Amino acid sequence: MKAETRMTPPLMAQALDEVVRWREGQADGARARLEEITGEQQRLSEDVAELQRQIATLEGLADRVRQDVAELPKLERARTRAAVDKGLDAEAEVVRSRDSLLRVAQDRRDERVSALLGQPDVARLIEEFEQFQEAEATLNLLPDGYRKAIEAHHQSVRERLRPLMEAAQSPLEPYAEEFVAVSVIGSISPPQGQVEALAVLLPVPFAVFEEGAERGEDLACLLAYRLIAVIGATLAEVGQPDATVQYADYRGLLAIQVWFGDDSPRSDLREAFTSQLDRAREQSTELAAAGIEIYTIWLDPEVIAGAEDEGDPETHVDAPAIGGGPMDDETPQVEA
Amino acid sequence: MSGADLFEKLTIGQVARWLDVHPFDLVRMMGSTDGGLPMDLRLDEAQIDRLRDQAGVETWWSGELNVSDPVRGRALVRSLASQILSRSGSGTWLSRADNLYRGLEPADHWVVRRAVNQLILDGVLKSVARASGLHVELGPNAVQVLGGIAEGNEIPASLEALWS
Repeated sequence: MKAETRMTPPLMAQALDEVVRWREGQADGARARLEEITGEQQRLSEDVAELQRQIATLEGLADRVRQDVAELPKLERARTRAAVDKGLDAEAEVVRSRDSLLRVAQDRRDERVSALLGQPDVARLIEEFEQFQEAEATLNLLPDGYRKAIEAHHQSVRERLRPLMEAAQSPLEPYAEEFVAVSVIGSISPPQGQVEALAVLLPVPFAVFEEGAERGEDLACLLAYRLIAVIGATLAEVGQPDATVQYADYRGLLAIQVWFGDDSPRSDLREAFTSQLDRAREQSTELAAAGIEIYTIWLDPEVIAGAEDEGDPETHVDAPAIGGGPMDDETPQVEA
Repeated sequence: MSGADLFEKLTIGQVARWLDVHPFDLVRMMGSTDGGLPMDLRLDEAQIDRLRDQAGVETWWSGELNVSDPVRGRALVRSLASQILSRSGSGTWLSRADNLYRGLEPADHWVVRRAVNQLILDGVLKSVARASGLHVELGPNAVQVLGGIAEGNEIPASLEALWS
């Protein structure tokens, strides 16, 4: 029997085993790197998906912000309208509360007249004055000398009654303390180009128009008179004295609307209104007696009209709205 | 204050009541003239006379109606048509709209006022804006239509609705 002997593997086999080990090592390394790479790819894919979700979210947010920006003018108009409404209500309250100051000034004037009436001889002079007025139409039937004597006597009575007349017709005393500013809202439509309409909102109740002469003449009523006269003067100044004017109910307050149609103002309407208001301000003794100063705030017509688009019909001037015509068929009628 | 009344001027509201016009018509008209509103917002007799003339205030209704008809509303509208025709004559005619019903009692006033509005809507009368207030003038076929109404033989159905 042949004894077992140790034998060195052939060199070739060793070399080939070496190749196999190398290959296995390479394969293991490659697998590990591949796992690492695919893991990394997976993580990156998940990151990309997350980033895409974030991008989509941001896009949605950006759209919302863009929409907000687009709606900003509309929102601004709505807020401005709300501020105007709140301001008008507050200023209407000021006008209401200041009415008592006007009464005080009127009472003071009446007291001055009463004091003069209480003076000796005044009652007799008034009686003579009235008798002359009653007989005046028949004076020319009297002899010349007699008539002249009566007229001369009447003249002397008139002179002695002059302080009473002046007191009865004297302007009211201005309020001695702090004045408050009260605004009226003016709006010209369209804001640029050929003017078609003017609207003026006043902090006075619509009842001032609705009840007309049947309503007592309080401060609100006198304020409306002043502003309507200002509008009349403005229209005359811009060469359209006969433009159609309508009075509308704006949330219980008075809105004055002027329609020019094809006959546009021949000069700057806003400038004319402002200068006429300045003139009226100087002459308004009743407003001075109540300690009120009027000023105008000019607003875009869209602020005080067109609210129907935004679902709040109570916050705009009743039809006809600015931008429309005076009536559907453009034929103003007698107020019903 | 009875003595002082002699020297006191009238307020705009008092003048408006006396003339039976809306006070806003008066103040707009005063504003559009050179004088503007008086400082004390009160008017003396001369100013009131001037205003009445400028405003063209007339009182059309007093006493008996000039057309007799068993139906009151129809009598009023026929009288209205008759008055417009007689006052307008052959030339150009323009009148304050409120002249057409000034002087009427409230119930009659209601009918005539609506009749005036209906005549405007029907194109028989044409409304004309003026600084002193709303005026009316005759529409294209007014004489013929108003003649038929005054006679009572051609009253438009739109007016019949006012009393039927």
